[in-house]
Amino acid sequence: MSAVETQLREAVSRLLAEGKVRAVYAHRAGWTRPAPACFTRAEQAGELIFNPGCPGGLAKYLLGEQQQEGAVGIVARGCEVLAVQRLVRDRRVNRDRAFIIGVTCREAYDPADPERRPYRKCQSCEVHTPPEYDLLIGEPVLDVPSQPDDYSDIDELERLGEDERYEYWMRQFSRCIRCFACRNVCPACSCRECCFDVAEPEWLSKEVSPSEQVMFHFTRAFHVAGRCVNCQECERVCPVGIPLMVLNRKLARDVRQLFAIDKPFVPGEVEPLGAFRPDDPEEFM
Amino acid sequence: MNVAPADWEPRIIGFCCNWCSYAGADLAGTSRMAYPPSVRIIRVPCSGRVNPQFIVRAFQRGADGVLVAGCHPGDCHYTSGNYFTRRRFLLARRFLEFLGIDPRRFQARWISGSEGQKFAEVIREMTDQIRALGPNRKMRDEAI
Repeated sequence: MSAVETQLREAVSRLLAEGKVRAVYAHRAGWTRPAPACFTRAEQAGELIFNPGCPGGLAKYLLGEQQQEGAVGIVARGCEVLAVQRLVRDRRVNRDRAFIIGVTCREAYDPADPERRPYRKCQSCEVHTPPEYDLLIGEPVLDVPSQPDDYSDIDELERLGEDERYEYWMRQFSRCIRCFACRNVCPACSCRECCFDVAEPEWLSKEVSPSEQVMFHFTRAFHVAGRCVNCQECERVCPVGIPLMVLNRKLARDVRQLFAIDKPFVPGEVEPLGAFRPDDPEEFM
Repeated sequence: MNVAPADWEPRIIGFCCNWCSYAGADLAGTSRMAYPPSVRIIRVPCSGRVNPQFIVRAFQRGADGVLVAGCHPGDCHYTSGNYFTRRRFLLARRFLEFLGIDPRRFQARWISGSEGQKFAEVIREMTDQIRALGPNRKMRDEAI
């Protein structure tokens, strides 16, 4: 058991005992990998686990905790704090009802990856220490330089011809089983009524055809354009391995280039498509 | 291979804002300016009304090209709608291109109520470009 895990267990136990939070979202040992868990009693804290293989994706659980009084804790590394910030900026989570137990992090990996390769996001991570927290656990990480975002995969796709690119995406999208896991886990996708769930207007039929797959993936990606926090959970939870982050990162890069938004993945006061400048680039004339 | 049937003519869906571009199209008509009958105009209250999903839906239902037309920047009837349109479709156009759609199939233009001539020219120009590209098969619903 790591020192961070011990400190976390103590902190969670204390917070619950003192009544500062009425529950804490974290992980416990699962069948094959860490499983999300909601701790409500101090004596349960001994089951809490924390390691680089603990997946993110806890932030969305806060949505179910907004009806009751009192704060709910969430164990969050830097990138997961960005996810919480996204939900707070979108006014879906009341900041007073979330208690962020920030944990410093060097890098993390997908628990399903036997080789334990760090996520792509970890290479350019600028939030080894969470940008916002109510309680911080772990030593500051100062010795890991952050590299610039690597867009070489997107450049490579852009070098292809349009037809080849279309073929590529059709091949990717054709595997989609429309499980909506990418939407459900996404901290930027939290509309009370999702356009994919309403029958009228029927934006997406139940039919599985190339045309409907494009509609789904275009809409999903565009709805998070300028709002994605680069948590990469969509890609992690996708059961068929569609490179969804390629779409999200392509949009983020364009947001940065077109609208001079320095850090497109950090939730700002206003979102890029909810604002404008009179001197934005003019291509339409 | 993208082989156009002999009687094929481009089908363009034109989203025109009520206050400028629709009036521009009206002016082109009342001034008897000739332009290709390839455009099907859908009147919207503001170019800011145009959801990017409309573009995909148009391609799904058989459009060969989509045009979004609104007031010039600064002239929006609702003060700022077209500025949002501009950001949205700057991004959408690049994104559609990234998904493999030729950017000439999706265009946005600023056309004021007094620019009947410009409306006719835009339709002529876009029709010529799309005629050269041939029918659109991408994103298209197979039943159509």
